[in-house]
Amino acid sequence: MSSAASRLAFLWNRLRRSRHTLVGGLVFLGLVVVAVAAPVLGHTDLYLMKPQDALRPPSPLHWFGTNEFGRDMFARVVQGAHLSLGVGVVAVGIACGIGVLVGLVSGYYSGTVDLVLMRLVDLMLAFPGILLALAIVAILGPGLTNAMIAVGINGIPAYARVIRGAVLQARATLYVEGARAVGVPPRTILTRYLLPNVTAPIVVLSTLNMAGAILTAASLSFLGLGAQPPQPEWGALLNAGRNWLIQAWWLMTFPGLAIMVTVLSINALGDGLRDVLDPRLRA
Amino acid sequence: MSSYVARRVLSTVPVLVGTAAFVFLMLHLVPGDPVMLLVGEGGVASPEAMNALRHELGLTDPLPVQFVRYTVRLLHGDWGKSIRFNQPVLGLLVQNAGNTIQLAAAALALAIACGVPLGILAAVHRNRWGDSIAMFVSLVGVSMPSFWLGALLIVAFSLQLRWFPAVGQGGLNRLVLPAVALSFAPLASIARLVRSSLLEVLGEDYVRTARAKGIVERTVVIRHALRNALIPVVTFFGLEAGRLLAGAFAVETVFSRIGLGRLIVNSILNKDFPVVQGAVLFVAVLYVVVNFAVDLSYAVLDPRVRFE
Repeated sequence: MSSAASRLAFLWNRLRRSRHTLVGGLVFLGLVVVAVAAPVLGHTDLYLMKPQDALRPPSPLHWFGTNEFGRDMFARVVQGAHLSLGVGVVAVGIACGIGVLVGLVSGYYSGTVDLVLMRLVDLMLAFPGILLALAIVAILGPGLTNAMIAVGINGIPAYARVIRGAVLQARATLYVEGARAVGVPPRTILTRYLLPNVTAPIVVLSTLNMAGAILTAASLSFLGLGAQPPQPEWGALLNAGRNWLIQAWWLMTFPGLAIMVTVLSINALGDGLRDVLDPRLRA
Repeated sequence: MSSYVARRVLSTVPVLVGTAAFVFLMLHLVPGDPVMLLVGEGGVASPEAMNALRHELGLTDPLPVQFVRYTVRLLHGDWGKSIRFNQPVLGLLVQNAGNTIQLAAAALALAIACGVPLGILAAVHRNRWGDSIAMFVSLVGVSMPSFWLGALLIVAFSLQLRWFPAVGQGGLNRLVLPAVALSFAPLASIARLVRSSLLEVLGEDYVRTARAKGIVERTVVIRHALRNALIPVVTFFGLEAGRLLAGAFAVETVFSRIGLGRLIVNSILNKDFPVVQGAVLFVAVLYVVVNFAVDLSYAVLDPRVRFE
């Protein structure tokens, strides 16, 4: 067995022992399948208005009931998985791509570059929680794409900090010093020597960050600053259901449950991955 | 101690200047004409009037000059004027901040009051049922959108049971539901943090000594271990206070409460840019101040911090 395969087998053995990691992973896998398949399933009455079916409670015909336009909520929540998980993936991609680059460069070059980049990261951290995302949406304007970008930028500091720390440690090792001594160019050291060493924190951070990104994006949509109606993103569905809270409890219940189950499964998976891959990240 | 305070005060200066710079640049980063943002879309009629205004507002000067002028104005309490309300921004922010701070403080108090015991329970019953239940509750807590929980609370306790009013502010009974909704996520984080911190401390020598002396386990945990275990938790309060302020935004919307959150969201939607800028700066400054206070209390609790 190759070393990579034996390492994977070792990790799998450790992961398998944690029941909530397994359950979280399986649920998340199921959600990913639903999210990917949702557009292919192509439910016909996603946007179709049927006033005669407006605000029907859950029934065998409409599992999650219907909204004020008679649209089937089950179809919309399923389609919402595509949008909400998609937002999570794109936002994590932005945060991870930029954050890892900043962390690698900052950790490897130290000196002035490090100082400037880390002060910028500190500055971003001075905007708590959703505030930076709100400021970015204020600049770019409301909408799903801009919300994705805002949530992505919001996630950069965490990557930059963690990766910088990991690089600082790896940089002091003999093999990196040796590579530098024989004149390996910095780019190669960064991508071939340092990056493989920080994959564990990247994987763990991305999983946990995905949960946060989905929640933040849902908050923005709920506030009317992200996905716009009739887009069935889960936060937007909650925002639309808010006006019918008294008459139709199901409009807010199911999209909220969808968010909770998704975030819960990702968090459970992320916790387990962290314990196995990178126990140092544990708070 | 005084040198620590001085160093800590100095360290906030670059953050505050950077924050002001970002907020100042927001105006120039928005696609379109800054004049439009400052006076509102229906505000100016002719291009001549626009140009005159551009000069009057100093928007033709180089950016560094504009920034210095902007900072001086901020320090003099001139944070601009709201387009929608036709009122000074700072006054508007102060008017709204009280409600948000009240909500965030109530939620934090609730989170501490429930989160710390939950964390202790989990640590003492490590790897047993109590631990599993406490940790599951906390995992659910961090996974639930607070505004959704708020809506569920309204359905259960306002519409069905009629125990609390559903919306608005004023009086303790209108604060309960939004505070509970907002407190769940930090409660969960605090419980997890207290658990891991307490588990670490329970393995220390002085705890073993206390046990060896025959002290009751309850006293060992509460009097000996918890005191040190809570030190890292205190730092967390500062971070959490900021997140609570920002998290209050969505909860305020569910409960139709007046506050900074509603103000900032409505200002973004209505393109009332001076208020957006002011609110972002205001919350960031508030966050810096809270963290400063937390760091000071941290230094009082743990003498090692002062000598770092």
